[in-house]
Amino acid sequence: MDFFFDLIRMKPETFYSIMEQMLEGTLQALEIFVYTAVLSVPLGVLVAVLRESKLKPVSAVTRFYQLIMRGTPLMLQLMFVMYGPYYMFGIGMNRFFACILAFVINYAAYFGEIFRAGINSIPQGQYEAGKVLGYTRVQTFFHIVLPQVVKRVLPPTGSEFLVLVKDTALANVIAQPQLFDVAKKTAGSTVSVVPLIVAGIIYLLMSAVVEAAFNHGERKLNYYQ
Amino acid sequence: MYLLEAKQIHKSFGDNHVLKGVDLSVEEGQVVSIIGPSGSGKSTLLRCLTQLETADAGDISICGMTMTEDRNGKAVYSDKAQLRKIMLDVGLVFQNFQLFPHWSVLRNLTDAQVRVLGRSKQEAEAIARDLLTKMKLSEKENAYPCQLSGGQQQRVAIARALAMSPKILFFDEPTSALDPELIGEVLEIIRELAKQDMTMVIVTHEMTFAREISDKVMFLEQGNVLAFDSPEAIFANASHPRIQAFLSLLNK
Repeated sequence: MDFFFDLIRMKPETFYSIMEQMLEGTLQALEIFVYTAVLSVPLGVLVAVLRESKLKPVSAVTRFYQLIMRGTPLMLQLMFVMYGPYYMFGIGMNRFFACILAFVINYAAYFGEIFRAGINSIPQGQYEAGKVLGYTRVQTFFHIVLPQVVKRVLPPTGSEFLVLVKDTALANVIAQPQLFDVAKKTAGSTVSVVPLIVAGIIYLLMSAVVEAAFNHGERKLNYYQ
Repeated sequence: MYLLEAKQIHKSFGDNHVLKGVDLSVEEGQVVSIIGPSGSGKSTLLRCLTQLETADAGDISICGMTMTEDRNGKAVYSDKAQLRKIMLDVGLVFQNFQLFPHWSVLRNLTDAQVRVLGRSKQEAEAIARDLLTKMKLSEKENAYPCQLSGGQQQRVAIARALAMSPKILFFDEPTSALDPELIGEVLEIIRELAKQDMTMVIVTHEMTFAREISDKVMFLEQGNVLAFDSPEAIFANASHPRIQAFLSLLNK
């Protein structure tokens, strides 16, 4: 063990203290990840449906929202959501709430496009079969179309989730504490590359878990064509 | 009693006038085949009768319920509740089956019974299993559609339609997507249904089959009904030169 601490040129107590902070940072990053994932996926379904709306204004507004979200930096959006209300109206935002809000509206825009492609890939005949059997439009969408969409959008959605794991680091721009924040501060205070390497390994591990989960999901849905 | 009455059905897609005043009446227990060259409007007619398209003009009533009434050359549809009631009396078998791929064969047959008709799960499964036996597919109830041959899929699709106890069953080219050696098994099922006096309207290119099974045959060309008569009158003594030409081409 002494050899290890010699190698990283760090006192054991310093190392353990850093690891403890890293653990906390990891949990905070996971918190951002889970809230964003859970909220942005259903919102993404809504975005996809609104974008496909036959009412032109609804579809146009949705498209414009997606253009802004996908066409400007997420960092800028975080800043805007956190500080915009204060600068404009003197309203102070809760930091964590602002962070989640910015992530959710950003990711829902991307998910909207993925789900839209998935929904459009289901043959018209499936809707017609649903209609002729007497299902309502809502029943046809939720029981017949959506389950098939899930199978088709799983790979691109998994990819987006991997990006989200790493994007949680962007919360740093509004000083929302999380893993990257810890890595940056401890690397500076100890003048060591170790915190950066440890953070990198943790991000990689989280990504690997997400990747494995989606891979598992894909295999589970392999029972039909 | 007419189960289906359609008068002067018109349907256009943009400038393309597909149906130019089609009349069709089907009595209870009758089998009516609709034949004619590609693009003659056969499928469009079927889609108008099953509410998958809206007719531009004309009257349609099914099982004594008015689906649409012509007012000054425009089709005026009944309210949603009435249209839904009519829909539940109608079954449709698609050319490319349109089974639900994420559900087992059994679930394909039971889900709508439970969710739409409100039958109990046990009742729905009993009905489904009975139909699968008739379709000679009992051992396939746990299979998924992708594990079945085309002919088997189409038999499941027919069972799915029958499970809803329709009063009239429509077929849109039920064998056109099948390999030649699989066509027979599907036609056999339809023959069986005809024997049980199921009211059916069948769009088909199987002329021998249409002749054998139908009480009446409609010949449609470019959106016009050239003939609506007994199979003998159409196939044996076709008076219209266009029909003669079409049939002689098929017999080559």
